[in-house]
Amino acid sequence: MSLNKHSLPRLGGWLLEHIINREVRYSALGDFEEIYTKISEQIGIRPAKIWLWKQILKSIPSFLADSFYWGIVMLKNYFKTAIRNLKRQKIYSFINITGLSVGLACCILITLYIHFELSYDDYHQKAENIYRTIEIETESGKKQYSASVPAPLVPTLSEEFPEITRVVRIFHPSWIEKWKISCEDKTFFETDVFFADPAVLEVFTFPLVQGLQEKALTEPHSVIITREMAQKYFGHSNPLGKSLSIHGVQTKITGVIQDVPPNSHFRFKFLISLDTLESSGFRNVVYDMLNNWRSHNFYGYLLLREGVSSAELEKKFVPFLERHFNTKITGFDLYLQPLKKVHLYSNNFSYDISTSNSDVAYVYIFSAIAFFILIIACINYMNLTTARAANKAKEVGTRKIIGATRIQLIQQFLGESIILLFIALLIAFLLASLMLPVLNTLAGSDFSIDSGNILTILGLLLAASLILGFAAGIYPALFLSTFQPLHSLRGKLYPRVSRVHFRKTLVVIQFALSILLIIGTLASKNQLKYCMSRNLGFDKENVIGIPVRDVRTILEFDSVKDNLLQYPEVMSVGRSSSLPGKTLGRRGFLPEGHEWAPRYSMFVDHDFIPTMGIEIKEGRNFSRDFGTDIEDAYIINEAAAEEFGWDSAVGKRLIWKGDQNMKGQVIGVVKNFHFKSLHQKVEPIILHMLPEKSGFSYMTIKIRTQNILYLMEEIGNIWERFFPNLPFEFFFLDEQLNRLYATEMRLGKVSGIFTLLSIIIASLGVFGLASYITEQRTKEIGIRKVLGATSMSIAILLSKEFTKLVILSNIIAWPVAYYLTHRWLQNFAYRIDLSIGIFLFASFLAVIITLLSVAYQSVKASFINPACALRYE
Amino acid sequence: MKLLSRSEEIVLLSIWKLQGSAYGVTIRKQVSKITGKRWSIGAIYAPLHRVEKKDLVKTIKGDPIPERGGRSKIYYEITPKGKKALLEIKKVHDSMWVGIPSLEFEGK
Repeated sequence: MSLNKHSLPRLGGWLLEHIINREVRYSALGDFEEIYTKISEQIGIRPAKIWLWKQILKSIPSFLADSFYWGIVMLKNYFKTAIRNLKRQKIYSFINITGLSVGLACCILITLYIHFELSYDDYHQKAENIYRTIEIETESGKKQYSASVPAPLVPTLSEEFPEITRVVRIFHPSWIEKWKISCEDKTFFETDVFFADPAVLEVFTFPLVQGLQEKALTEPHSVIITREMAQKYFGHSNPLGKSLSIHGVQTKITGVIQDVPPNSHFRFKFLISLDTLESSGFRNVVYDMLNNWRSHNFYGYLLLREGVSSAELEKKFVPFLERHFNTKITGFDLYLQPLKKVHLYSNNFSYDISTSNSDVAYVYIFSAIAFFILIIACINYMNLTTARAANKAKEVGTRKIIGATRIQLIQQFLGESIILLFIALLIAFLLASLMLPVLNTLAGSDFSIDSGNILTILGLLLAASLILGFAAGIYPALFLSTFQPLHSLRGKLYPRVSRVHFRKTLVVIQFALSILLIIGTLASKNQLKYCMSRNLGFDKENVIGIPVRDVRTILEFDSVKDNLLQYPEVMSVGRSSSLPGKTLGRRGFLPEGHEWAPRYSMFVDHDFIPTMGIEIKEGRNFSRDFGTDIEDAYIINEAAAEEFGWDSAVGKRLIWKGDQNMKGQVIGVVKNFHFKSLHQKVEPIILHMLPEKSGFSYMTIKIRTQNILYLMEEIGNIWERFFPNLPFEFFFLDEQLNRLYATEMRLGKVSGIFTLLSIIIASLGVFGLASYITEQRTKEIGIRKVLGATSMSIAILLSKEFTKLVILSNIIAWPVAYYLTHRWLQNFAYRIDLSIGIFLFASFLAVIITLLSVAYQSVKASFINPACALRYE
Repeated sequence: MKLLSRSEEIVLLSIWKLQGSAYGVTIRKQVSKITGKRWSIGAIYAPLHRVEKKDLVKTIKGDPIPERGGRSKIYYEITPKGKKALLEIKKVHDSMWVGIPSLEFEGK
């Protein structure tokens, strides 16, 4: 625009150029200039300038409104063309939308999971100031964490440290698996029975629906139940003041609370006042634990004063602990774990209140998977959109000729991708809500989309769609908008070599991610299989465990055993204080030539070792022929012999603290057996005999039968005959042991699903790209056929390119996969070697999937009639 | 067809009144005269842009003149479609006012 000497001041002119819509700019600028010139000629330059600026300021709102108005009109137009494009190219749209929506659905589900995991215990109003007491024992340099503390510790802490405002002890004896609970007319067996100090209602947020918070748990024999239980036992009638018999002890209901939310690290249905434990009815449950500093069986929660640092407080504990625990010798320490960390950071704690604690690593793993899947889906989109460039070229050319600027085109394409993403998002939401129940069943989880998380999820996803729409759309937008109208309208569009490379790089990344997921899933599957099939050092098959929790069972054991042995199918019956996979206590032992130290120990009877099929390596089993075995004999495992440095262990002296006459000696060594999960190394363990008529926790029965159902019914009958009022409960040892890997199994299943989905998305992408490439090469194929190429050779030609890409992505994925799976396997003390087989299999799978996705297109192309192909266009 | 907005109507009527001498500057003058208010140039061009896009007016380019920085005057002329739209809005106005009691202030 050539401007003469009367032109507007530079700044004003520049400003107007930019705010006035292009379509009226010429005319409006002319008006400005005309009036400006007139004023400056007739009155002077200064008033003209003043007029101009006033006029500009007054005009800005209108001009901006005008631009905005037409912007919206243009947006409508983009929307229309976007929808038309989608409709016109059905296959591409289908692949694109499917890929994106599956990817987004995965992300929704994973977001749900992560949101749930991170929300644990955050509903407690005072959550920030609640800490849990965790014991740390340092043993040969290794820290052992345990969530259970002695009952007197907690109130003593609160007496001595003013920083602690309130304390709660919670008791949940894991050795009682089922509680018999009855009201007037109903009896059920329940699991979630907890005992707690009255302050539990003050420290935690468990709102009472009925009853008074101040009084609910103060009296002994009072119990609070959840609404669900109130319904179950009392229907519609008011449960308050009614009595419940729990484990044979009469209690009175003093409160009803809302059901404990699923994102709570401990979930009770019955909460009994802790003082009730003093009553005679619970004596066989609690023994003398209430006042015992040596019995670590309670969970302690502290409410700290606002602003108190837990780390500072821990430091102050040192002299206190020394006084009570002789910490110099035992290496005992106390750690205050923030309440909100309980769920995700307690994975290696023993004796925990919850069995469903997760690990923060899984939150990371799933976040990574979600991220990968999103990347794969985005790459798909980028690839397909750039692949369609040839078709788009004409549109771009036409728009450019009509006067579209590059910025407008970029806006248009970005807009298109965002629209597509929103459509995908809608479908993804539907998909996710359909998949949610399936996932819940598979993973044994309980996620839902509800009012609590919907906003977070929607917000996240909207943000994600915008960002993704932008990220996935920006490359195609930049790329497409560079087309020269002349070339693109002539339909001659030769993609530059660099572009093809870029597209291939994307496919490589996509496949590398899928292969990574495949390898991860396979490795975890193999490790799990290994966990379940490894020789544990004892027979886990055909062993039935019966948890024992009543004095009568102890007294009648011998008669029950005799009755059981009448059956030829029953091979032997043993007793023990624990079983592999169950919690195991430690007691102080003094081995010859060593110091006192707490070591794992288990009380067993004569028949336990044969029943379990544990092999004796040296010496002998406990025997009835030696009367002194009951008091003096110990059997240790290989690990213990090794730790004590005993080449020949038999005859060595070993004294238990409770051993009055101090005559103990080792009579045998058993081969190492896994009494804990394979996450942990086999540690030294000492077996000794159950004293006569003493309590034990499990009865084990070794059976040999095809007809387990029949036998179990028979055993049930015997049980019924002896203990008519006790429920007959049993478990198969192998099943019980498999539960040790529940978290991993869940992870395996869920990541399996997501791996599958990522493969689907990636192969959709390859399918789309293949169809594009074959289309591009139609003429080439035609010519090759004319020159004598067979259909076969053409199919191979087309597949080869993709196979090369997949092989390349393998090379990238392998080291990463190796590193990650290797790290994951470090969680297990006993683990598989990462075999090359897994890697090869994953690669093979990837190649097959690629070939299948390409096959349709290449076969179609190879059968093309050359005459048609060459006439193409 | 949607009815004209008030500002569109005013702009169109001004163009019609100006009969061939309607371009930005004169239109603004005419509009300000009709309404008794000063309109900014921006305020004129927003409705003008819309009626132009709706084909209610067409533009005719005059000769370049120095006062406009070497630009041409862009003359606006009403199309038949524009006339129809004006007639339509007039009908609406007429029927709107039928039977309406006088609004004049009595004291004045």
